[in-house]
Amino acid sequence: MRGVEDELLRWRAGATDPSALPARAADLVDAARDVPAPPPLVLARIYAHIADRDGRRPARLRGAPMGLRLATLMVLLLMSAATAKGAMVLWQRYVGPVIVPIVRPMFERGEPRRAPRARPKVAVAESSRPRAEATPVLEPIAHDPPSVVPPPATLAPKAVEAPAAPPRARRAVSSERRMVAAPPTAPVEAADPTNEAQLLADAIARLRQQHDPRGALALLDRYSETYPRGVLASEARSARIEAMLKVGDRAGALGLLDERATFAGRLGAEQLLTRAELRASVGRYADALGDFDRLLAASSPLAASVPGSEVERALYGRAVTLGHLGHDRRARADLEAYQRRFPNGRNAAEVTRLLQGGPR
Amino acid sequence: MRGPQRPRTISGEPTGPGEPRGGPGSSLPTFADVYGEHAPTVARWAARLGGPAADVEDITQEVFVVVSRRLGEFRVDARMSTWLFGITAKVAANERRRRKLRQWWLRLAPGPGEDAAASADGALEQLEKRERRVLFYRALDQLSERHRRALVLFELEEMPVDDVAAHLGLRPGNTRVLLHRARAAFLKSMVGCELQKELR
Repeated sequence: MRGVEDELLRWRAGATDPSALPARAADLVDAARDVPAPPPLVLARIYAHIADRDGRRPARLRGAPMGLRLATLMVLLLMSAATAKGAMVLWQRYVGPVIVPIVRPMFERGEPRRAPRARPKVAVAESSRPRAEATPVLEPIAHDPPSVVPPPATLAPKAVEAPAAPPRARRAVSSERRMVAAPPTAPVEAADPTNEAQLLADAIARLRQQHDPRGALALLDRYSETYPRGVLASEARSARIEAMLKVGDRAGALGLLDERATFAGRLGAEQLLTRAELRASVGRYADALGDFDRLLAASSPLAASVPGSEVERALYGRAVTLGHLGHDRRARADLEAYQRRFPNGRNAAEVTRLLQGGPR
Repeated sequence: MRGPQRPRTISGEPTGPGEPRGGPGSSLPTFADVYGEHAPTVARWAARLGGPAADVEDITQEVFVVVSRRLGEFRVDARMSTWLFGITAKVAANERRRRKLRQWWLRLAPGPGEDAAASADGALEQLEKRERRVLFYRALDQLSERHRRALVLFELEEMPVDDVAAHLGLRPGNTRVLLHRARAAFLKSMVGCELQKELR
């Protein structure tokens, strides 16, 4: 038995010729084996969460008799077997009128999902830049704007009314949103949004294919009104952030991204980078540094999904942020890493200038 | 398909340190005991099964939610780590499916195949290592779930074949065959991924 097992030598143990396939596989295995152990604090937090839940199932079918569970399963199977249109017709005709009046009041008791307030932190942060003058070497983020977030010199929410929004959409627009939503460039008419996904798909198509962020915002308002607790609410929120950035409403976008901080660790790399840049641009350097650190942390699972162009932005952004916070040595390390990795990057000239003039 | 929650008896296995085994006088471990003893192992499995983009904390929590619910059904003559691995593998696979679905929907979120990031300290070394890790999981993603589990246990966890067999609920002979096939499939997939990377 042992002899047979010996035939199965692990790649890490048995590879001798470095150019052979097993040796290359061993190399990959070596890299993949390094997994950081979870900190005790994290383990304690997980334990506390589970203790809170006390091992309960999600409340939906808990305690329901088996017959009801099977019936629900059958209905779901039948509905998914039908076409989307047919299922929607069935839903609208038979199920919706019964369920919605029962369910809606339950949802309305919770806090409605709306665009966040334009936070007054902008003004506060502007007035409390810690070391902007004390670090002449690293200037504030005023470089050529990146593709996603152009770091602004100042942030002033645009007070523009939205007169062209249709009455239904206007009801959904909160007072904060009306501050920033300028009139759509084209009349907003979703092509009969028969379901949640269709409405959101329309909004995204409006945003990315027709390049009409204001129209997309109007559709997203309509989505929020129709599906305040929709299953695609998270995607809708991401699309809203993207649209807000495209119309120049950075304060609103930052507000939404700050709100998402409550979902710890759930922000994608791009959104985290956007939030970091926006925070830095309004002088919230300590917050921005936390985001940059998370993006660039070697052991972070998030870091593995960051594309190169975003690494470039993050490295530069962190260097500038560190400069503002007075951590010149760490800033220099970041700048040198930038220079090494992105010798022809968009900020390469600025980085070279900073490194030549900075304190060693 | 046997569910991971359904405990199995695997007789004749070697017992790891602290593993509750059946026998006269053995009693069901409490949730706190199981958590205290196995949480780091489950987190490590979650990270290795899920790959670089996995939400390890989330998976670990989900695994122990299942454990807390099903602990009463655990048979004391079974092996705790086998039971836990079954749950972890299923939860990690579900999480990967959900992630793929979301990425498909968004068409934005970069998968683990994107370029890796660097840090300031030892940036190049870190980058190279992370790229290798990403490549490993890109190749692993093309394998079946059975092959994935077998490879993770054998190559990453470095378990003996008998232990791999116990964790997968197979006989050792079948496990060897499975491992041979999984390794061959991995090498093939790895070459494909390397080629793709070169061509990009």
